[in-house]
Amino acid sequence: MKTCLRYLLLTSVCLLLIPLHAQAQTYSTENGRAEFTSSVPLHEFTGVSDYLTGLINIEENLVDFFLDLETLKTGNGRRDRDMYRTLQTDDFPFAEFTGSLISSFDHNSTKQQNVQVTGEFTIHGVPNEMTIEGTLQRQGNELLLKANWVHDITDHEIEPPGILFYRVRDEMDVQIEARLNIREDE
Amino acid sequence: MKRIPFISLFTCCLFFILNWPQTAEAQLERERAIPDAPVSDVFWSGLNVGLSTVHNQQAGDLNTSVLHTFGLVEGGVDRFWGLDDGANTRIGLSYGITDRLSAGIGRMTFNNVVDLQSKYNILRQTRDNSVPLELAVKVFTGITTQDGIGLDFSERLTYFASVMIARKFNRLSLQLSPMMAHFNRPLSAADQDQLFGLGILVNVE
Repeated sequence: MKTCLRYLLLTSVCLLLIPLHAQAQTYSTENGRAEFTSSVPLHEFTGVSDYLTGLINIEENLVDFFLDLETLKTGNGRRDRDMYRTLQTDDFPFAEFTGSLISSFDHNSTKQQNVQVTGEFTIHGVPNEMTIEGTLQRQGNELLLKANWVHDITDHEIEPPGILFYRVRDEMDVQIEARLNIREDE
Repeated sequence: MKRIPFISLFTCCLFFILNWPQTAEAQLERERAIPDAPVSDVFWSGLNVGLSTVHNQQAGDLNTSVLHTFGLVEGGVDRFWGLDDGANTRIGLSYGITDRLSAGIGRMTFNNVVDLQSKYNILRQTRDNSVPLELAVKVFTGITTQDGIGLDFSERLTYFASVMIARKFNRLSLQLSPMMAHFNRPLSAADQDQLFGLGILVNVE
């Protein structure tokens, strides 16, 4: 009986130690950079926000990001207000992505690694399944995330604003860069 | 001896059931980045049917405007409710010095009045309702530049001031605008040198 209890105790202690180590692999940020470049005929404009918020939970394989769309600034207040109206930010204030890594990521390596995430991207209240490629690099207690992709706003039932042929392009180039810190509360 | 692996196996199974990866679900609570940011679009423009609104342009924005005002509606069908009286056209430029302060210049065809004006937002209604109202003031000085009317400089000056109090309720915006105009010299003896008014604006999105 004593041997039995010893085995039970040993197994339990070993297993309980694993999640304690694993939960330390959650990284988060509240000031990542998100940038998009869009265009109308003969003109291109860029919107920037430094309020990209998100987390990457390595153990649970969760990637969860959101951006308050009214923090995007293009350098022209009138254009910003038109953009918020088009995106209906009063009703749908966030662009959100929730998904998981579908490529391997060696958390112990400090090299930049190409990764792929897949999940649900929601803007304008309309979700769309997406796979995005980017890079992750562990730098001490931080995780550096970079990604860029082409996003079609009509996938989210957003009507590109414009008049006749002078219309905002459906597709925009999106770039994000974030330095995620290890979460100390885990 | 048979019970030892069973107990260990049971503990392992329990552990893996409790820690089994689940479908990706958002863990972060969605919160506005700036909760006390001003409410957007109380009104969509700085002018609404000739009446100034609490809307002000952002710092660095240059706004051009062409404004037509017609005769009095009380002219009835004979004057086609004022349209037959011809338009007074004002061409204006205004610039956002800060997000709360703008200044502008304009010229209108009526008496060739050139004006300088400024608008300042004292209070901005916030999303979290920590400030429940918009409060703005507008001041305006005009000078009649028309030749041959025999007025000296001070007699050509007119002044206007307005306080704008507004609130946005979901998709409904309301504004009250008490205002006052002063003419250093009225255009005719019958005209008053001071006028007071109250403007009411309603916007439904």
